[in-house]
Amino acid sequence: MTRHPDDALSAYAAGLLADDERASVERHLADCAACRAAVADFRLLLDRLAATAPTPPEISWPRYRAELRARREARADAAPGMRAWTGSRARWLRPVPLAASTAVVASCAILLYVAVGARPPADLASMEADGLASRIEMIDNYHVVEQLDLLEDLDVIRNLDRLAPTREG
Amino acid sequence: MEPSDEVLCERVAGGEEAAFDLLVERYQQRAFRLAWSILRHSEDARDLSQEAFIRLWEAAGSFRGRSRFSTWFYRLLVNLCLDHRRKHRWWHEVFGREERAGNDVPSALEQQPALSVDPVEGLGRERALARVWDAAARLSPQQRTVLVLHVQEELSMSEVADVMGCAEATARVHLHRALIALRATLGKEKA
Repeated sequence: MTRHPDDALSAYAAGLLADDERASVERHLADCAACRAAVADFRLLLDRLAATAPTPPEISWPRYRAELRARREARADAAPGMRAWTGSRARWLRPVPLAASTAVVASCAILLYVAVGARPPADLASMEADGLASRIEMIDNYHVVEQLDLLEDLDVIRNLDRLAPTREG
Repeated sequence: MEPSDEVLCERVAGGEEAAFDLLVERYQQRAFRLAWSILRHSEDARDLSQEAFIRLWEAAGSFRGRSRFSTWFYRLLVNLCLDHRRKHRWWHEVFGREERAGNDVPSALEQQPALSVDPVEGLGRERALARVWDAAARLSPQQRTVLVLHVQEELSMSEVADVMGCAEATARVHLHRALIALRATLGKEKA
């Protein structure tokens, strides 16, 4: 008996072999029950696969086309750099990805809070002191601000430091 | 007489909306079914089949007519689906959607021993055959895609190879491995 043509049996069953190779396989099959059984299985599988191909769920084709049109128009309007965002319906907005995204954002927020919260209180006090110091000139020139009727003259406020010598002088 | 797909594609390349709409109507069901058969996820299939039509609109001019329009369009769609599977492999594995390793690694299904006797006898045979597409869902994406294109869409192996962007011999190997794996499943069911 010739060597089992294992690699050719499925192609033989599917009718994919050229004439010479098919003849060679057939000569082997005449003497080999195991290979005949394999060919029979492959044929059965192919027949059953063809006969029972599953059908996808029903969808509304007008709606499908409307979505397609909207996506195509959005794509045409979008700048090339934005295509990655508009090219497909936002997958990250689907329930599971959204949950994962939310978890990541929440983790980042917690880390940030911990990092900021860990600063010594002295830093905060120092920042407040800096803020107060920057407003001292405004306090010094409070009489000018006081005389403005509706605070409409913002230039006056912006130039308070330059007004100060006038007041004193 | 209705214009051929190829003629419509040429018109689409010229920006003719009506030609595009006609191609969509002709191919929408096939595109959705093919994407769904590869992905087994209706929302993704809807998304990616629509994306394929958008790519068609944008790139119709690159269709040179060397193959049939259907082959060219299927290639576009299959590439999108297989890319999607590759990119989301970890997601499928973590959340239990059927995702398989690359085609070069024999699948767990392939590693199951095939019966040395006729496996299609006995009580388990019908049960296994009735679930043959469920078993096919556990094949690698490439094996399943070849099976879908050849058996379900009735493309020749030469067209399958064109769509997959591989040599015909490679496409045959995918088919062979798929059938070996499915046959092993029959054997397991019988046992």
